Amino acid sequence: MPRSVKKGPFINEKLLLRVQVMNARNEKKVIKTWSRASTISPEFVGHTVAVHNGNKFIPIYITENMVGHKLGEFAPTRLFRGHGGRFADKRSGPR
Amino acid sequence: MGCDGPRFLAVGHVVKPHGIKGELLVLPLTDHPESTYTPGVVLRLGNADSEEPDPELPPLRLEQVRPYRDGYIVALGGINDRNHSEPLRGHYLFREVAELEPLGDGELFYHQLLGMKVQTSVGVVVGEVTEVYELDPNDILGVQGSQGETMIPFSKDIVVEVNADERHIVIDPPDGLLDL
Repeated sequence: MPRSVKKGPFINEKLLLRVQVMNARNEKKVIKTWSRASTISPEFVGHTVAVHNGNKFIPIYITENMVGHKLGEFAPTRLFRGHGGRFADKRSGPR
Repeated sequence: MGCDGPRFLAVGHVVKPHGIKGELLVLPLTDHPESTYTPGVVLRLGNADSEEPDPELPPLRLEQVRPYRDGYIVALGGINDRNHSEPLRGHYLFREVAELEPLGDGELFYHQLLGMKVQTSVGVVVGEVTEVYELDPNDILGVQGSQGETMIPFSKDIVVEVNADERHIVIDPPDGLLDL
């Protein structure tokens, strides 16, 4: 069952406050958080949030299409290193 | 792709034989499975730990392909029964790099990124790329430096330059990224 619309999205207050303060100061710093359940709001866009995965902090650069999702969705608790060794046909580039 | 790169790349892993007609269940290891898993494509068999397929095993042509769960059921030319398909369990399928889908703008193969030197825009050396974590929407580069592993989001706003020829990456990290 989805969360009640009346309540609005859950965002850890301390986290939101830190993002708002940084936006007001036009600062870019990595914010460490354990709050994987916090919803990404539009204020987060352009910031890098280090989300704890139970073992270490995974830095996540927040983009527009992540708004509405939870922070935990982007910091997997099991980091899959993939099959096929280093010579698999996998590609990457800065997006 | 430079001429010193590998000639073949792994595009699939044979999970198990499927049925009694020589078909195989293959897990794709490519970002463009639709262009590789097409009838007529020639694949080579080999071990993923080596750069090249096993020269003693003959090339095989894909005859039939259909999607199945997370992979494909493939029928290869010359393999018509279970007795022929069973020994292929666990093998990797390789395809010639020249036949693969060309790289997109700014794209690099994972093996090209591994070993690249990472430095900040002010010249501070962070380390060497040892791992590429496949995540959405941005991959993360695992960079091994003198103080352990640092994770760098592979985003245009953080990674300002990727120089494949000189094998270095220039980043402009926000405060605190290198201290995580």
